[in-house]
Amino acid sequence: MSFIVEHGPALAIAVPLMAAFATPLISRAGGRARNGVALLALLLTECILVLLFADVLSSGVRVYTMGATIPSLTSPVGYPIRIILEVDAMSALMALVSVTIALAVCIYSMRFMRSRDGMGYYYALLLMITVGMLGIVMTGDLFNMFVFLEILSISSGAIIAFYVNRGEASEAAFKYAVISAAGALMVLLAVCFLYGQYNLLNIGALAGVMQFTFLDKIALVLLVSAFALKCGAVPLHMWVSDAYSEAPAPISAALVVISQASLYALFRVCFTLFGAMPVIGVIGWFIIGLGVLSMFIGVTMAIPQHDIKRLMAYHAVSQTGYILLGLGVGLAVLGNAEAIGSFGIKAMEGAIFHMVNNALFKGLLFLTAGAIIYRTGTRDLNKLGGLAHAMPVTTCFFIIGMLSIAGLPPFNGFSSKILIYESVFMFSPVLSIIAILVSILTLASFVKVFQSAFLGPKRREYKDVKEVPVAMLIAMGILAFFIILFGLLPDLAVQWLIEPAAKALLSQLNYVGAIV
Amino acid sequence: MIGLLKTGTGFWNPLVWVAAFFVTALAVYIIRSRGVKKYRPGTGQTMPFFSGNRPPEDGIKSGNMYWGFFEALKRYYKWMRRLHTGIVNDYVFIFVLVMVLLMAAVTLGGLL
Repeated sequence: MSFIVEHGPALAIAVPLMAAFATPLISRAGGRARNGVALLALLLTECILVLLFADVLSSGVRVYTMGATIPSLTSPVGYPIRIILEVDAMSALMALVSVTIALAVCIYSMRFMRSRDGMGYYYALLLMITVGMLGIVMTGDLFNMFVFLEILSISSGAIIAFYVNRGEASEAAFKYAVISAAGALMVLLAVCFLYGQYNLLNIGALAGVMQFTFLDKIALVLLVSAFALKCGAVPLHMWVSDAYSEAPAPISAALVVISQASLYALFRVCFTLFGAMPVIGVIGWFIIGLGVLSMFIGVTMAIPQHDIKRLMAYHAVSQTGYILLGLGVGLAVLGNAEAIGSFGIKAMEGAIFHMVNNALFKGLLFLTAGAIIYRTGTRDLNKLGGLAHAMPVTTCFFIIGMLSIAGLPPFNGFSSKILIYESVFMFSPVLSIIAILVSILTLASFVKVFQSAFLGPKRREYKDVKEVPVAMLIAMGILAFFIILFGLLPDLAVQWLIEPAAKALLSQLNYVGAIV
Repeated sequence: MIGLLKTGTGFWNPLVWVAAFFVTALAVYIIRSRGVKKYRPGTGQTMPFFSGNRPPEDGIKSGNMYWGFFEALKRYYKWMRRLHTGIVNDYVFIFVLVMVLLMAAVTLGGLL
């Protein structure tokens, strides 16, 4: 067990990576073997990450130096060399969430994508997405963050175009690829600016020697803009509606977590790398602005949509706004110890909790949209109706997701939103009122979906529709279970998952000290 | 106390909310069960309420909903549609614009 924990950071990336390369080959032995390998790899990764998370909670930050005889030996010559993975409570939490969603997506895909060709490549890409996400959240090295970002972008771009026979899917993938390349280029440029000045790539080491020069400010601007683009913040959200709606439905759920990985990178860069920079408050206000725009424009653009996946894609933008709002408030008061203690840390906890919750309820909603498409073959809400008669379990899952995203009690969305509302109210009541208004509009939008797709008399064209297969219900059930669990026991979720993550982000010294 | 989430300025307990919900649901059920029990199929009693009009036979479509909301915000939506061109060049332009704005904000913030 101690071996797994000691090598946990490397194993968590290596297991899905090896499985990704193996699945196209194993595919030749049959679909069941391929599905089994993908599922087993993700289950194994989940187990490793659970152990790693428990270890990080009890022992603090865990570092892993690739290729070193002693994995914890990060600075053999006085400064960090080699690829170093650094896992604190924030990284471990995000890794755990990423793999849980990937696992649900894998189970769901076994039936949803069963009749499709090229499934060996599909699972390979899904596993590569997992590798990219885990790499971003666990690396302690800025250049490796760029590499994993590229792995994530290329594999997710390829899988968005999975329905290559549809022109729209290829177009969405093209847009995603261009946007990802532009963002990644800026990240690389920022890395170059920092490496050119300090001869360092390690985040902790860089944070320890940062001089806050003009070039550092440019690097900060490039990194914040690039990660805001990748997480789909307004006005950089234009790619989201295309990519989310054209990707296979389970991949849309995975794309939500991909956005969360970008948000993690934004958190890490702002708090750990540039947390001590005097102008970080300005960045906080800028992020608050992006958050408010994302919340409002996301939800108002969602309401008129009649393509169910496009509607949900705009809601993903809107929910990202809540996370940015909490993060922005935390950053804006970072230099003020009293404000951080009284409401800043709660705003950050709310933002981190909402990241976890968003991955769960948005993932569930995309899977229910997939269930509708699987049985009816259409995404157009104008053509749907009366599905609750034939798909009662899917309807229940949709209701759970709908109430959760709208922030209605007792679901998890309410727990994280109340943390954001109250802490943001202490900062600026207007921002809090906007956030509450957006929640009301979110509910209005999902009431429309619920009424259009599920209510009403049974339609003639859907008389043969029945409930989706068990594998798809299990995948939705996993996410619904966590939504209810975190909704009913938010104190335990905050105490064991969220609070340690928020404290880890604020403890820049711990992160730096683990390396240097 | 299990389920008690401290929010900084207050608290939230979903388990108490669930208990209150069930008590309220029970009260509603009891009141409802004391109501009129007669059911006349084929009359207006079984029709969905549609502001006094006869509802469309194939139900209310999603496109019919929130007409007043869209009418009130017509200019906003017209502007939004114009911004969402779907052209990737525009996306990259906005990205560059955001970088410039952020750089200006950081530079000015540093001077203040």
